Amino acid sequence: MFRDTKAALVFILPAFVFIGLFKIWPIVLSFGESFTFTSITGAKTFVGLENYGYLFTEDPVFWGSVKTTVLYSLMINPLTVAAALGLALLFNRKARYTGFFRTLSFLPSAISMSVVAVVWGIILDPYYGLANSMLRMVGLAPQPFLTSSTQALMCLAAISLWRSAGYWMMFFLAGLQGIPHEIYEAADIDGASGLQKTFRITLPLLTRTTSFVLVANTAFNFLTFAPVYILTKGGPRGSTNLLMYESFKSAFVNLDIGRATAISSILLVIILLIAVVELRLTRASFDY
Amino acid sequence: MRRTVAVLILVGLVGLASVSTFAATKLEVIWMGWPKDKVDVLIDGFKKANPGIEVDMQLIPFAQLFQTLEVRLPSGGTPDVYIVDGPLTPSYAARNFLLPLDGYFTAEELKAWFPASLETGRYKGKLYSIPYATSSAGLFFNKAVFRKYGVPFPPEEPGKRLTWEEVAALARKLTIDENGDGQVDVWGFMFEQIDRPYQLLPLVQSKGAQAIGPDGLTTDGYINSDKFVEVATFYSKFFNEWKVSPQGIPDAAKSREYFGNGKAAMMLGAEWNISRLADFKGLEFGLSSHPYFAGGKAVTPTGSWHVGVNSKTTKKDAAIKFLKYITGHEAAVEWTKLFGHAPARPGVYDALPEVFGNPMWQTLFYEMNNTAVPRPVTPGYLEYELILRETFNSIHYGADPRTSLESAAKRIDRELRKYR
Repeated sequence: MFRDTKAALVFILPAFVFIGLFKIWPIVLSFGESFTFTSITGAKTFVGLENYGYLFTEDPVFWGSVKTTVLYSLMINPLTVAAALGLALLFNRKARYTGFFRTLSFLPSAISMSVVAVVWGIILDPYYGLANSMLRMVGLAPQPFLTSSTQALMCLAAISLWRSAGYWMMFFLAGLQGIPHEIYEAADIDGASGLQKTFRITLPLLTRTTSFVLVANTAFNFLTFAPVYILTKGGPRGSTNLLMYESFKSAFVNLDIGRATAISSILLVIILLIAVVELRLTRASFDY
Repeated sequence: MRRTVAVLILVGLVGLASVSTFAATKLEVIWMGWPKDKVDVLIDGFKKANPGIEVDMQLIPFAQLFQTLEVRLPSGGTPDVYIVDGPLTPSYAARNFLLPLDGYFTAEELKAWFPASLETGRYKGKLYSIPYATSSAGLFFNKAVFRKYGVPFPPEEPGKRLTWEEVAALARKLTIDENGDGQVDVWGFMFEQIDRPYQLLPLVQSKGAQAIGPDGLTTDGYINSDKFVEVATFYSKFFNEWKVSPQGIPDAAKSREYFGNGKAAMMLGAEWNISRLADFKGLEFGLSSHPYFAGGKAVTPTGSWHVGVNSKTTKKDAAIKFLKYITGHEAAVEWTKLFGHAPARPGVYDALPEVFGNPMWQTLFYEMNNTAVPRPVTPGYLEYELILRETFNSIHYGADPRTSLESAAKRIDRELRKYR
């Protein structure tokens, strides 16, 4: 056992070195920056919690951005997990064409998010887009989509769902393959129905996969940036101004590194908190 | 074995080829993302005249250009030369990203540019960027649409202008649902740039409001003044009360498409539209002088792209050569023909009577000489522009003008602390 541990450590060491160098260290640096004020000459002064204080008490856009980010997260995460799981259950059988449909659902995730955003932007154009042409064809009222402060965030969630459901489906498929066949056979002998098997065997035994997908997907969605940057620039009226985009603007347009790093540090804390809660909620209660 | 030898020979040849190009000085240039085939015409001219200098032109789309520069400039000596949005000159100069240029140009050479354009390239008395173009704007209108609905044309002679109230009244007349499906088919009026200070500040200045405090670092009390709010409210009505302008048209190219395809009767637009609208088959358009507010003064936007040299470049001589070429007379003449920007060199106007004889150019020429007001001079123009843009964008979507501008003033002033 001990020798295994040693070998394992040797194998993961290179990865850890690089993660430490390119992920952990920048996070530490950026956390440090969030307590400073940088003047235009590049001189940094330590200002303690001033950036945080301003964000929490005075900043006119910060809380709106937090609300938007949390709302987006609450919308997209359950949807993605449900859709991915649904697709996996649907395509986890040996029937004709399932391979084709699996590939089809996975394809959107192989396209870069920027391309996806541009294409959907064209489809959702309120005046000349494909989506509204179709709505008009079937006699429905055209929708403003990305130009409405009530619909834009939902559109972004829909685009993200379209792109990532197939990707997470692959993880669920792998999880489904890992469930021992004997359990289903025993259930068949006991006369369990298909639904019973899904709810009594499949879902409980998939808990670990679900847990991983939920946490990874949460972190991923909290860092959503490209579609906001390309499609809405945080608008209409701040309705899609996710924290990641707000932080980006602070850093690269407003040259306000203190505020930008304070926002990204807060974002990191939010992600950690939510991940811990999710891990607790989806803890596997048994082993197989 | 034989294959290995062949591969080795190939590698060797490739190596040789690349060594030979290393002998030349290679300039890295970050440039605005104009059509490559047009930019290449200018670059080829430079390469012919300077065989020892290679130019790596990196064309960056407008939407990413400024962020790209923000990432690249603090990190060292490349790009050697880069395009500078005129009002950003103080921002780059304050941070030592631009080489002071006074020593490289004689007073005689500097006479080739409009004094007002050169002024935009100066910060604290030193010259940091050379004008590549300048700009002006006016009210473009679609003659076919006006004729079709029996509305008389706006005045076309230089300096004769409509008031904004008249424009709004015309726009209400010319917002048309042609087939009664509840969808507007022709919009009465469009801003080419829906939320950019470049296009919107002239409205504010026409009312007599200030865009920024005299120190260039204060907006509280200026962008939230009663007059400023009044203009922002008027602007909001186009989209929310009269509904004569479409919401959510994020960029100039898209606005131009609307107007070019007959989906808008009028468009407040910049001078490049004179040449760019020629791409739309069968479009018959006119240009009326920039509108103003009754009782206020006529104000038009101006200023455009400049070019600067990276203060940390290791190839100063080649960079200055390139700067002088690209902002020089021949290149400016060529670029005007290719793209239709307003030249910043009076000499180009004389050299191209076939272009500038057009009465529309006479109208803009009148504006440049009589009503042009440059954008605010502030080292914090990046921050000022971004936050004001977001604010106008929200207002056009129906946000309350006063509250939005109050919050903008607070945000901008906090960001401008770093320059104090």
